[in-house]
Amino acid sequence: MTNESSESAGVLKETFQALNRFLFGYGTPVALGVYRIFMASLTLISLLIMSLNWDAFFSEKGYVPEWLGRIFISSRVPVGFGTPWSVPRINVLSGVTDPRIGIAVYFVICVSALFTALGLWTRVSSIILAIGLVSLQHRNAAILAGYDTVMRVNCMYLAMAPCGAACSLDRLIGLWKGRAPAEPTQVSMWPQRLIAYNLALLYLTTTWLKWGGGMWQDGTATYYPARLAEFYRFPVPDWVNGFPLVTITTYGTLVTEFALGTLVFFRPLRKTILILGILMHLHIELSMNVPLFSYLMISTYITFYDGEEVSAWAKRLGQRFVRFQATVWLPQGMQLTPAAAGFLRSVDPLSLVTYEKGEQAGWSAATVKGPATNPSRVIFSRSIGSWLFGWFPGTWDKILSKAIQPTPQEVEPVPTSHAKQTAKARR
Amino acid sequence: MQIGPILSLFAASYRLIVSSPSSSPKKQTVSVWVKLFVVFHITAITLFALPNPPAAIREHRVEPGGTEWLLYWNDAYVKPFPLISGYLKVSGFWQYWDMFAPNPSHTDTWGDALVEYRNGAKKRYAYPRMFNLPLYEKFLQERYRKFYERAGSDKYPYLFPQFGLRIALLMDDPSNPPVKVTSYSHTKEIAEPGKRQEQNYTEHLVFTYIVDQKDLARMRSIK
Repeated sequence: MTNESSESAGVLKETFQALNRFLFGYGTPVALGVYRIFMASLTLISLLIMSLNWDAFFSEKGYVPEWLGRIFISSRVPVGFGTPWSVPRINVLSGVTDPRIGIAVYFVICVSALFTALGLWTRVSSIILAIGLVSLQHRNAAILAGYDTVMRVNCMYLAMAPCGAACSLDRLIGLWKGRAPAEPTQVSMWPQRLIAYNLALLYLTTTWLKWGGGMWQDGTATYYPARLAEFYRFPVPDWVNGFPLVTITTYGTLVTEFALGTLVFFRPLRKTILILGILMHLHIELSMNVPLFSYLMISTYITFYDGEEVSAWAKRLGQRFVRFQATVWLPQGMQLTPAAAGFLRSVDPLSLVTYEKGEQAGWSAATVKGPATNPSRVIFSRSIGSWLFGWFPGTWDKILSKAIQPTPQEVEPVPTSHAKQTAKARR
Repeated sequence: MQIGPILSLFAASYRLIVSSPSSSPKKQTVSVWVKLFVVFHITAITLFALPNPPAAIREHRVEPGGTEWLLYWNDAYVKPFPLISGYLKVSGFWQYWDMFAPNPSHTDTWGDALVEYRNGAKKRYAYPRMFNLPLYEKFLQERYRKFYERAGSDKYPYLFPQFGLRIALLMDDPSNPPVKVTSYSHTKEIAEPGKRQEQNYTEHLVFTYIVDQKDLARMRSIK
């Protein structure tokens, strides 16, 4: 009896420790960095689309002026516990009726989305983006769809996460100035785990709700949305929305969403389940007009992978692109500065460029096709992390000129006075 | 604007909960406060996102059975609990995932309005309809369809006057102003598989709005 209870206590302890490691263990933030690029870019696209209908949905002469927005979704939330107090929802647009202020706030949110996507001043910009997006959605919740909630919740997580620690301009600048370590600093995984958990929760609860729906039970659910003219998008062949594919997609959706809500955390099944999820969303994307929804969902899938796995995958991908690999030789007698070495490695996640000591006076390069005339172009075209800024004329020439330092000559050590005295005594 | 206290609260909580990668690169432990926050957050979003029980149970017309007890109890007592609902609603983490659930929509709906002018003339206002738009426009204008789900529904009657006023403004003629806006929705039920699909839409009166000329004048003056 005692043995049994101590055994079960041991199992419980081990489980708790495993959960603790999973939630709060440390790892590289590369997956978070890639996720940040996708999520902030999609948010920026959504914001830009919103500008087309700003007058209709966010102005005082629109369908939902400020006062009506506060009726649709209360601007304050009661504290409760028998107190008369209430707390305001996050909404910097609360009470704002001046269109100039509204547009200025909108502009700041767009800039913060752009900076977050680039990873520039990421901490500040991601917090401004989160507050701004939440404010916009609290200002007019009457136009919100499911994908808006996905975007809002994920931008909040971006603001919490150290998502600028990898794949960001912040990191590149830090590397160039010698302030950042060669490999991204390990971070606690809890923000990434929260994002993945929230996504799984989305799928699990929506499956639970569907479980009670008659159309999902009788296998006809996907038959109806495909026939709603207001949702038409791309023309698809009749058989795609006919039987037996309707039955397959109906039950397939239930199975896939349930798996995405539960089994996706089981590593041996993870890849298969995520591929099924991607297929499901591509089907929605192709057949229904629900803008950005599928892209947002698929982008979040990367948080089911650890940063180490993402980095290793990028390296493996680079090895497949043998024909794009290149060697760059440094000028004779020169070596890369430690800061530049880290910078160049960081902008080339596929590891397509190899840097070696050269024997010519200047930089030289060769691809699989043979010697290349322009080393800067060879590096730029293969370093995808530099594609955003490297196309400015002369950028790469400037980077390369500052990336090298003379190789220290191997000289005999100068004897110290103590050594000289010792040598004299020996003689 | 309630920005000051919000920003300081956000900054304080940010400092408390965000583990800075640069501040403690060697010490790979997470503060107990962060752990408590994560556990609380997971509990809050999970309980808040759990499905609501069917309407018949919520309205006490039917006794819950099986897992419905859990949903009923959660909906009645846990979701409204101030610590949970307050945290999620204030912060923006509120969420409920009912896309295509419990059943996907099987009614096609679009809207338009009849605008009557002072001299008795009548004109139709065509609210943006996705089916009539070219492919790229559908992508850009989808919010109109989403908004009409609410503005064309009896569930949100307080949206009607402003909806009518906006249409009056869009169809305005200062020398002969609109005096009445009648909103119509056009619906078509998708028939079950194997049954004949109805081709025509049925027109329903949503609301009639007598244009308040003062409000219209105020709307005109807004740049």
